[in-house]
Amino acid sequence: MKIDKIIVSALLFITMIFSACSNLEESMVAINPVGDKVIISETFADDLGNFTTKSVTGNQNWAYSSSGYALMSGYVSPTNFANEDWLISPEIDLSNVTTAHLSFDHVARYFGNAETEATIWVSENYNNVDSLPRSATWTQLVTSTFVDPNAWPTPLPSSGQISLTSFAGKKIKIAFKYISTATKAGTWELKNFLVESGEAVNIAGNTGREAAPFTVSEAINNLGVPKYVKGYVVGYNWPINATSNFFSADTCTQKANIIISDSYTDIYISKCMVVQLPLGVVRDSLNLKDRKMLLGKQITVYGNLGTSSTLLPEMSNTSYFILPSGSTGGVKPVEPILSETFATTFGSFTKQSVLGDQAWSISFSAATMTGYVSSVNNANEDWLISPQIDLTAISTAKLSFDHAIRYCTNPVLDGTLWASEDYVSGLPATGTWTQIVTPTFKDPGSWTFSNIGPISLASYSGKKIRFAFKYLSTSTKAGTWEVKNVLVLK
Amino acid sequence: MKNKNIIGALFALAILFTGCAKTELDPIPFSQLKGDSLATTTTIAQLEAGFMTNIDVYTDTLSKKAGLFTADIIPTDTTNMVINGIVTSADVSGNIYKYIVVQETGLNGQAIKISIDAGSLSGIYPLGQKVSIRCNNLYIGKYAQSPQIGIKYANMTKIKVETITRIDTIHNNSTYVLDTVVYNKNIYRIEPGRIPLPIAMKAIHAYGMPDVTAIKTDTMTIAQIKAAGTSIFNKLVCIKNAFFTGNGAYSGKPIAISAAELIFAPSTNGVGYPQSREIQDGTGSIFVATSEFANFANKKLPSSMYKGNITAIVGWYNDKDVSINSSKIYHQLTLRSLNDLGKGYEGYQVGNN
Repeated sequence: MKIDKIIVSALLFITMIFSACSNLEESMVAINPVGDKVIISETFADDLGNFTTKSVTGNQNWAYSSSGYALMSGYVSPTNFANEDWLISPEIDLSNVTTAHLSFDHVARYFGNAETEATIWVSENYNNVDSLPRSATWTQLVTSTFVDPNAWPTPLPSSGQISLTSFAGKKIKIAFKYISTATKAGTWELKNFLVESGEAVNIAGNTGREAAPFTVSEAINNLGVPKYVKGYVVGYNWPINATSNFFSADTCTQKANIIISDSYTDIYISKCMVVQLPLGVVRDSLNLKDRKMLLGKQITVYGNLGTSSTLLPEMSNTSYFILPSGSTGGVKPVEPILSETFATTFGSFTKQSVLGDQAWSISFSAATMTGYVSSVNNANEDWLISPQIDLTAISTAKLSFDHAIRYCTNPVLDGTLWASEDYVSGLPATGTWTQIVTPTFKDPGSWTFSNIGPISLASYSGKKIRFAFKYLSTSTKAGTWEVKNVLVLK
Repeated sequence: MKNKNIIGALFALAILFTGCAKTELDPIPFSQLKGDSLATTTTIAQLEAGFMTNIDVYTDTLSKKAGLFTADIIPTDTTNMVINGIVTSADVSGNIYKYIVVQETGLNGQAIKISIDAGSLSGIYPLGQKVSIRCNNLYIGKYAQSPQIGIKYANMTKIKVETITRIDTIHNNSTYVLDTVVYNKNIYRIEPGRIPLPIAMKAIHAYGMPDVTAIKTDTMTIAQIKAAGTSIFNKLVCIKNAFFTGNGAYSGKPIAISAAELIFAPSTNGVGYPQSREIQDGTGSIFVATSEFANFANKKLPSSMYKGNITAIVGWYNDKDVSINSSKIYHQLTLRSLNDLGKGYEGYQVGNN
């Protein structure tokens, strides 16, 4: 009897199992759950999301642009309007993280002084979205000054990662504070606001100099200047057009070029660079027709970085190379001690405003200083100071630059060069400066750049110095000084 | 002995219940086996020309005719509007969700997306299934400027506020006066929405057995696709000698993407938009758009070393530009599965298995 009961129970159990095998509908299941690294994300692609706006002064306000970003501008053509406007995030909960960082894509253009007019603030106690920001306490987030790139970039470049670790463990709101005046009203476009856990990572990147050659990806993003690039030989382009790219050496019957990339296993043409091989030792040593063993090997090459008729990034005038064995060929370039174009940023130069509201800025691909604003001459003293250059082992250093200086009272006095051995940072008066003798500066009568140099720095041989461009203007006369392509050669 | 009888009965019961497990094997309707279609009375091109307007109150609230998001009725009280075609879409890999694409088989036949509120549509309308669709009382419209058949749907997440000022009668101090009144009117984006499944099954008549060999794929270059105009939308094409460049897309233009993004569709952190990857064939650039829910979303993008046949449904996505920006790429190709990477991608397919 006992065994019978067991058998019956087993049969009933089996019955239940089979009768439960009803149809299971397939359902779409999200395979990728939201990553827990992301604390808050707002693209502004469709609207301002849960961000709020507060207009403190002025009739303009932060708003969603149908181009897919948040936009604030006090410039309503053709008038500049004074504004103070805040774009405030919803609450960001950092209570469960120990490190965090912020990043966003943006561009800030046409500000009078972006350093004070396009800023980011954090509050732990702004809790009433109906109240003005001043009802709470705000701490400014330290960022680099946003530089006007002189064009509307596509896509909007990243701010890089800004640390929020000092607010870890707290609940905060982050705000973008915009200021404009009736004289000058900038435009700020913003998208892809992202707060993630983890400390901010700032990738310094390579310099493209011999000691730190560009990767191919870095080279593609730094076209326009001659640099060292290191990459794997992955193939060639023949006949020369956008799509005749061959990732092989066996089929190579030409010597005109090779293709390099950061990887020789996963090759994507968008991450490749064509390297022209000029006649001579460069072509003889690097072509895949004769040197098939180079395929898959990592080499370093030096030349001009640009685009080509094939629209692929291309190194032209390739003049020097380093093979995997370490042997070299071609003509080794003379590397500058310092090279700064001021095309888009100040690079490692710093600026100090001693007098006046105006400051050095990047404008029309040059460092520009003027005290003349809206038909008014303003008194200014402003310095553009180089990074420290080490001349301890160099006795023949030479400085050169391109410039145009106009409308000064006396360009000889209003635009001068200075050098210091003991200046470190802050106001120039904290260091001792001696004037560098230059050719006489003259107003060229038009906005035509002239090259100044080479100016000998031999007197500073054996030392470490900084040099500076010093601008002066008065309330009677304020000129404009534009400087670019600063070069210090050995 | 009595116990044995009981056990035997229980055993029989168990077998009976086992046999009664729900398998839902509906018999194939005789009409399907017979292969009866409904007579074609109109074409996709005629439906679009006859009923699809540019009335779009949301995108441009002034003109109300931007034509990016529209929905126009195909009237009930007219002739039977029946189109015939073959299903060219398949949602098995997860890249296609809640719609089928039907392509006419005749000369100059076009294709259109039918939006249906059901998943696993390939179980009902598999690849190669011939269908007759009675379109009366359905809506034909544009979603991001791409034609679809569906229902009229007001997207409550897309709202614009229109301020209307007019003279109106208002009650003022116990009397009625005419005065200027300002109203705020909510304008919702009207789109072609998903047809409820029961309605779709009434409208769509599948007949005959699915026959993938009956699907016609046009071999075209990227340049030809981009020059073909709206008649190419939703059609199945094959591009030869096509390769992935390794670029993604931003605002309709190719952009560099990081090494981690060199897959078909990284996570969108819950937002759910398809992501584009650039392909070229020597005649131009176009995007392959993939959903993060596709089973190949996380597969490594084929390297540029692979050049071969790519078969895809031609899509178009323009949700912003009232005037077409010639520097942008609006075409979005949809792969049904990784098997749409054909001859030339054998090495890539082997690596994925």
